[in-house]
Amino acid sequence: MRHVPLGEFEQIVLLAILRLGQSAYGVTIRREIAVCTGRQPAPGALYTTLDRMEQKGLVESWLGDPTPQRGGRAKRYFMVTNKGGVAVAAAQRSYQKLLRGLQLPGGAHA
Amino acid sequence: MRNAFSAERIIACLIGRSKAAVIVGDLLESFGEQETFAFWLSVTRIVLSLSWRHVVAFMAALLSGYFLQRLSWHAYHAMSGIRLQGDVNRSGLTIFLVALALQWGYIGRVIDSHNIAPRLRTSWRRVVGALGFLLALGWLIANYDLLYRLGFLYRGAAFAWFLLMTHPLLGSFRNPRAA
Repeated sequence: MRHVPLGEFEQIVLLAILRLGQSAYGVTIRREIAVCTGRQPAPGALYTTLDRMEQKGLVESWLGDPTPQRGGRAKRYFMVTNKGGVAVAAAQRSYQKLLRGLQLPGGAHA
Repeated sequence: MRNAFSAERIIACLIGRSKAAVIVGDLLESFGEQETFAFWLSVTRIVLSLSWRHVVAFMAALLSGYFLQRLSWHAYHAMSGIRLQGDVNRSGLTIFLVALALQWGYIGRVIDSHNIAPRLRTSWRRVVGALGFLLALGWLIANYDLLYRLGFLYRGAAFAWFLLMTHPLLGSFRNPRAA
């Protein structure tokens, strides 16, 4: 299967969704990225990236039930599709190939 | 005091009501009742992030429209000795059909079906659509001198179309593909 090239932020978002499993929606995705990378993603960037990835077929979304905490508004849950999984795996393999044999400060990459 | 409905209405102008409701719901969940400033700061950042492509598209459409208008002016003078046959109604219909096809996303679907450039499926479709329409319009102007005589109407119609193509408010309401 020909994989879709991914940007760095797209990879981060896909990995965050994969880590969260069934509970991946805007707030938790943003929180997971902040915890794992130490960077707080801009909310606008996150939503445009999610929309773009959905249009590319990398993620799927569905609406949950409305909650009072959100003023009666529903959550939009995300799930990585097979195509998204293949794309992120290919992107990560590329990084691993580039890192192989390098001795970088902060960790060995053999 | 924060007004979630106002925020939702503003964002809905750019991406549609259902997606706006989800985003505002996320913001309400993220920020407490006292964090009004942080809430509105996030709304502002989201609006800027969602609208900058529309602004670029609008500017590109206006600039390229001006360029094509100048080009057609020169072409008209160069060809003024030749009497070209034209039909305003036919030209108008062509413009209308191209405009309709672009605005309602049919050209985008054709591009998608041929997998020419998947990126055109995103917001850039509007930029490409506006430029494609302007090229079609320039071609028509170069070939139909009768259309050019209706300069005022043409300019008015072209400007209205730029607005329709690129303005996020009108675009979101009129494009049935916008959720």
